[in-house]
Amino acid sequence: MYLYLYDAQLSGKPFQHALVRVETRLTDLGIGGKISRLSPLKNLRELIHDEVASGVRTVVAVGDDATFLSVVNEIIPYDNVTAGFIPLGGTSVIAAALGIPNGEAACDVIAARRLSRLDIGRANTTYFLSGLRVPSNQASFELDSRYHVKPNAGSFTVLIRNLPPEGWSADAVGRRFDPADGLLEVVIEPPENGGGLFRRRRQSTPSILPCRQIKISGGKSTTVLTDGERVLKTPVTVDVLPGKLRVIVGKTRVF
Amino acid sequence: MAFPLLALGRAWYIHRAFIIFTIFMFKRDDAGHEIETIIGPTVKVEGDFAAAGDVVVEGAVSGQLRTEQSLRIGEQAKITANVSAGAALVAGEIVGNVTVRETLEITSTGKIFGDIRTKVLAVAAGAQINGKVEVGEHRARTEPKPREHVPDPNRPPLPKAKLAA
Repeated sequence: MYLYLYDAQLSGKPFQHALVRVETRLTDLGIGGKISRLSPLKNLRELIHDEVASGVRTVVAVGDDATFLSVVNEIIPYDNVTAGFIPLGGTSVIAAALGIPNGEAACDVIAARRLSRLDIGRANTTYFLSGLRVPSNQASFELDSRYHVKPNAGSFTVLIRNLPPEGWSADAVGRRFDPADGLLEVVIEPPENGGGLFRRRRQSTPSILPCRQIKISGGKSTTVLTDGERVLKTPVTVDVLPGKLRVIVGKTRVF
Repeated sequence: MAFPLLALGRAWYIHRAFIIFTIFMFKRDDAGHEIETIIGPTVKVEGDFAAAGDVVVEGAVSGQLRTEQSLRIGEQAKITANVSAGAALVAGEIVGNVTVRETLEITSTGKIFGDIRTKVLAVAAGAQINGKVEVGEHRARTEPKPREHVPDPNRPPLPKAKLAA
């Protein structure tokens, strides 16, 4: 049984035509289900809890990355529930990583039901799928309770990734960022310098350190941003839950 | 007439089995080298660093540095640690003992200040080594045990008077 959760912004006029096409395609494929429109007044946790109790086994987020991530955050406690994603309303980085096309074409991916078990990251009590970002250069990192990593002086951006980082080429990504390997990758990107008016060049190669647990500590100004742009204050303990999320993926996924 | 045909059939099966085995081995090898750790030139790592896959070090490491796979120490890298790896290429500086299971290659810019233990060693002209070097297959060292005194049962006992004296 399917539950389709529509993002609040999809109730606007620009998306009405696209939504009708999606709904028609879902009905044609025989995977229609209950539709619920999200709104600030609706409690997503309670909604999913009630629907799972009444027999829903696949929850499909219809909207952007934020919609999918908020749905993922709520279905993690349920082992028997599968997540699906129909991206609508802007470019989706997560959909690209999962190999899901935009709009109506995503319905075919949902119908094909190619399942994959992905790792989920946990920062204190917040779950994340793609990664975290630590913009401050005052933070210190302890990896796997064994060693410390310290960037040299300068403004660094530290990423903790489960999915490949945005904007990285396929060569640079390689097979390092596999969301099903039971590891998170700490990426320390050195500051960029100006390589010209239209070109920016990095000073040196970034560091990539695979690990299972990270303890982030730092001063008062140090914050950690989750992929849903939720802000966490340090100290933050990050770990990985291997194969925790069952999700429908497309053929063109990057892992 | 049947014998050469049977032999040909057997050879074909052995050939197919070899191809399948080779593909399987390459896939395993490929999977084993997927995870690569890169310690960039702008990063310092302190503590007991252990990795399962290949490691590239361009920055600074102090403490311990271990990997089961290959290790590459870049020209600008400075390692103040005991190093253990499956195979290693050293172009930077290591202060500590180095143990490599297979091949250790030291380039012309490489410097090692510590003892080296490896199966195969390749050193380029200009490389610096300051320490004890052991190359080849290493067996477990067995110290010669002190011989225990076993009394000879055929030997007659000494007279008591002589013993007292």
